[in-house]
Amino acid sequence: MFAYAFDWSVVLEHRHAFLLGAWLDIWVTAISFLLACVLGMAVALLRVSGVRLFRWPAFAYVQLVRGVPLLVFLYWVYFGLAVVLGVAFTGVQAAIIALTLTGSAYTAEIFRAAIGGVDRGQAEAATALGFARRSTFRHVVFPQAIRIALPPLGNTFVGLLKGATLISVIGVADMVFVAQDINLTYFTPFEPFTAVGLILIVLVAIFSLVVTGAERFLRLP
Amino acid sequence: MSADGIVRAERINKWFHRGHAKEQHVLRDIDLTVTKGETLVVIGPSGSGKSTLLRCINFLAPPETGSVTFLGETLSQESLPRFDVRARLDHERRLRHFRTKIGMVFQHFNLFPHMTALDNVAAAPIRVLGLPKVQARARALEELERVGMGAKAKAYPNQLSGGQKQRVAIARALAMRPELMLFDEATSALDPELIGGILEEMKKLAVSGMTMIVVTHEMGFAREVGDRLLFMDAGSIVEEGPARDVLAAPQNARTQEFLRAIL
Amino acid sequence: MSALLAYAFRWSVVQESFGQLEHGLRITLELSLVALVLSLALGLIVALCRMAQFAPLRLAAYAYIQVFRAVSLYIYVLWVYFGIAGATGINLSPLTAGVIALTILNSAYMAEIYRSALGAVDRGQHEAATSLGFGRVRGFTTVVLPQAIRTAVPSLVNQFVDIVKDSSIVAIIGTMDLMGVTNQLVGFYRAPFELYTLVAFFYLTIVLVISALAAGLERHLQRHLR
Repeated sequence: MFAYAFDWSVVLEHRHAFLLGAWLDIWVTAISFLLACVLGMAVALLRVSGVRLFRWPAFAYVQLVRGVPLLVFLYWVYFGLAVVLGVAFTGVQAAIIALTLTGSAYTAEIFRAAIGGVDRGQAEAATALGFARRSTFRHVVFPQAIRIALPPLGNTFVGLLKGATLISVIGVADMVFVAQDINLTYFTPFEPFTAVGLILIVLVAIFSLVVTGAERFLRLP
Repeated sequence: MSADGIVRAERINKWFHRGHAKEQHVLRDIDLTVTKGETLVVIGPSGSGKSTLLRCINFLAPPETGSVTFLGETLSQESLPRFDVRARLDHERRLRHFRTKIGMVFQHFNLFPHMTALDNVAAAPIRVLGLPKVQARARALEELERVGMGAKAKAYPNQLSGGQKQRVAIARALAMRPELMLFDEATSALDPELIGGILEEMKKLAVSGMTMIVVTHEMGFAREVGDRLLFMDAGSIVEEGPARDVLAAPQNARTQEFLRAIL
Repeated sequence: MSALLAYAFRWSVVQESFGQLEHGLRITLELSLVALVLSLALGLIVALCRMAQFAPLRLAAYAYIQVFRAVSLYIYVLWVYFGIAGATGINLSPLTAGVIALTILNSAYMAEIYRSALGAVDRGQHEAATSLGFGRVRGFTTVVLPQAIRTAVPSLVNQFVDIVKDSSIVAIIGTMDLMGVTNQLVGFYRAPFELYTLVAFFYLTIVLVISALAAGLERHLQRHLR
C-alpha cells in the first residue's frame, strides 16, 4: 500500500530555499500587520468619533472588507486594480496591499472593542482633571486599551501569517512556492508540503511565546 | 434520634484536594441523624463545612469515608471497587434514585436559564421520573402556584427577581415529591426585603411535616422553626441540641463566641 | 486619476457571467455547508475528548487542536490533495480534498469554541441537575449542552463565515466554485477588475446573509435572557 518511497533528503537539500521563503512570508506579514494596525486604528477612531458622518463609512468599510476572502483581494489587487490604475504591482506589493486591507478590518474591530472596553470613568476622571481630548486618549485610554487589544492583535498577526502562505498564487516565491517547485521537479509531494506545515507550526509557536511574553510585560500589578 | 431516623450519616469524612495532596480536612467524623418531620438547622462560620455536609448527604460531594442511610437504603463510596464498572454503574443508578427523593435548594438558585419557570420545574419529572408531559406540567403549575409563582410560569429566570427565582427553585425541588429537603443558605444571596418571603415558604413547608436540613444564618428562623440545631466549626459538630436551648444558652465556648458575634 | 479614466470598464461582462457564477455559487455553498456540518460534529467530539478524565485522550485532543490551528488552509489543501494522495496512492477529487481539509481545520477551532462555552456554564447548573436525579449523560444533554450551544452560537457563526471565505482557496486545486469559475471567466473575457469585484460582492452577500440569519437565530435563542 505504501509504495511511495519517502525521501526527506530533497527537503534537507533545499532547506535554504525553504528558510528564505519563510523569511519572505514573515516580513511581508510584519509590514502588512503594521500598516493594518495604522489603518485599523484610523477606522476605529472614526467609528468611536461620535460624528455620524464618519461613523457610518467606517462601519461599512469593516463590514465590506470582512466579507471578502483574502484570495479574492489578492487577485483583485494584482490583476484587477493593476489594470485599472495602469500600474504593474509586483507580487510582493500586491500581497502587502491585500493583506493590509484584510487585516485592517480585524484590527479596526479590535481597537474599537478595546477603546470601548476601557471604563468610562477613566475618561471622565481625566477630563475632570483638565486633560484635553487628545491627551485623554493618548495617556489614559490608549495605554489601557492596548493591553486589552494585545491578545486579539496577536491572533490577527497569526491569521495574516497564515494568509501570507497564499501569496504564491500571484507568483511570490515564498515557502509554499518553494514546496510546489520541489514537488513539480522531483514528484515528491508529501515531504515538501509537510515541511512547510511544520515550519508554519514552529513560527506560530514562537510567535505565541512572544505575545505571551509581551502580555506579561504589560500586565498591570 | 432513634433508629427510625429518615436519614443517618455515619462517620463522614471529606477532604479538599489539590493535586494528590489532601489539602484540608473539611468534614471530620460527622455522625448525624434526622427523624421524620424534623427540621434540623445547621449554623456555623463560613468554611466550617456546613455546605459540604449537605452535599455529602445527596452525594453531590461524595463522602470519602462513611455512609449515608436514607429510607432504608445505605450508600457509600468507601467500599466501591475502583475498577468494577458494573458495581459503579449500579451505584450511580441507586444514587440517582436516592437523589430524586432528596430536594435541594441552592444559595444561587441554579435555575436553568434556558428554560421557563414552568419548564424548570417540569424538566426533572419528565426526564428523570418519566412522567407524561401533560401530567408533569400540571404538577409543575401546581407547585408554582403553591409558592405563589403561578402567574410567572412562562417567565424565564432572568426576568425574575432573586426572591422569585428562589420560589421557583423551591417548586422545582418539591415537584419531585421529595421526602427530605436540603436548604443551602437559601436566603444568603437575596436582598433583605425578599428574605422574609422565602423564610415564610420554608416555614410553611416545615409545618406541613417535611423533613428538612437547613443551613442558614437566619437565627430568627432557627429559633422559630428549627427543632434541633447543630453548630459546626472547622469540620466538626461542636454543639447540638434543641434549637431554642442552644441559641438561648450555648454550652460550648466557640458557639458562644459565634452567636455573640452575629446577634 | 487620468489612468482611471483611461481604463474602459466593461461592466457588460458582469451580466454575461451571471449564469456561470450561479453554478459556482452552488458549489461554494455545498462545499461550505458539508464542511460546516462535519466540523460541527467532529469539533464536539474533539472538545469532549479534550475534557475527558482519561489523560491520553485529553492529550491527543490537545495536540489535534494545536496542530490543526497552527497551519493554514492552503497548506492543508495542498497536503491532502497532493501530499496524502501521492504518499498513499489514494486519489481524491479536488472537492473531496477541500471538504477534508476544511473539516479538519475548522473542527479544531470549533473544539475550542465548544470547550470554552461548556466551561462557561455555571457549575451550579450541573449540581442542580444532579440533585434532581439527572444522570451524567441526561444532565449534560438537557441542562449543560443547550446552554453551551447558546453561548457558542456567535463564535460558531463566525467560524461558518470563515469556512465560506476559506472555501475559495479550494479553487486553487481546481474546483469550479465561485472562485474557480471567476478565474476561468477572467481568462476568457480578460476583464479581471470587473469580475473580481463581482465575485467579491458575491462573497460579501453570502456573508451578510449568514450574519443576518445568525442575528435572528441569536435573538431567538437569547429570548430568555431579557
